[in-house]
Amino acid sequence: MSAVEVISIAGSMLSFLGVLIAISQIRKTRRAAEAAQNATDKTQKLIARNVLLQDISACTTAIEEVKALIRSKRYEASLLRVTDLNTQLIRLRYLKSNDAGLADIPFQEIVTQMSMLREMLEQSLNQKTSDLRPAHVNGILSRISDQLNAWIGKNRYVAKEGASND
Amino acid sequence: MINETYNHLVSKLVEKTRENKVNWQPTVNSDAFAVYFQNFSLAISTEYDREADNSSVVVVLRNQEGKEIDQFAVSSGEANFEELIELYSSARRKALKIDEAVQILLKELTGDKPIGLDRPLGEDTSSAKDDLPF
Repeated sequence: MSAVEVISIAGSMLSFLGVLIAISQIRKTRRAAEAAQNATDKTQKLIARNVLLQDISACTTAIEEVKALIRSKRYEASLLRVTDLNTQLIRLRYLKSNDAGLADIPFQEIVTQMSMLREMLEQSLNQKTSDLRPAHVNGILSRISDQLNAWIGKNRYVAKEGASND
Repeated sequence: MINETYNHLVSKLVEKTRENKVNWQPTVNSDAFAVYFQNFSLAISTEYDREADNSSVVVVLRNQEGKEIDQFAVSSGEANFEELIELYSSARRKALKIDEAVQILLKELTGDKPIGLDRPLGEDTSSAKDDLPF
């Protein structure tokens, strides 16, 4: 075997080794890119969930405000607050983000109750007499608030658990 | 007078409510009870017109934003009134869990144990002694 042939075979073997190293590096790079993408997705989901938690939490605060306003028979202020609350709930409903677990919130019930309350408040303001029973209304609002708080509790725990796994 | 579609709907609701298969819920209006579906809800309530001395049952359909999309009312003397009053009463009993309460009461009454709590929960009888002025 001549020196040229030996060099040629050695060159071919080194080239093959180079190709193997290149494939390995490409795979490593792809895995790193996928891991980075997964981490980004997880972080985005966590941020979205935290924003959602704050939004739902704001709804429960608004419900408590409505309860206080109804208790003190400030129906005009209650009406404004209920209208805002309903708008916020409808927006949240249309997020349709199943990842965020919004399906657990009984939106149809809450939105219906808020619309009925809005109508009753309108009637109370127009007729100057009221069929609105504050204790009953606030009982229903408390139940809605409890449902939202239960969702917050459940999802806050999940969010923290997700964060600690990363 | 209600149309054929609603007539059928009312009959089905009466039938399913009798079978205890409709999940009626109380609403902010103490005279109204509702059943919720994925994207709409149906509420039933009663109204009394003092001037005409007339009662009516009102059924309201709402969309997924809670807005009223349709309603019908049947007054006393009209067709379907008896059926709707029965539906309203059943919805009320179901939403307020009246039948469950009565069943528990009956169960208590048929037992040998004393009926009811002997004093309100949380009341401490020992504190009464401390109230003596000497």
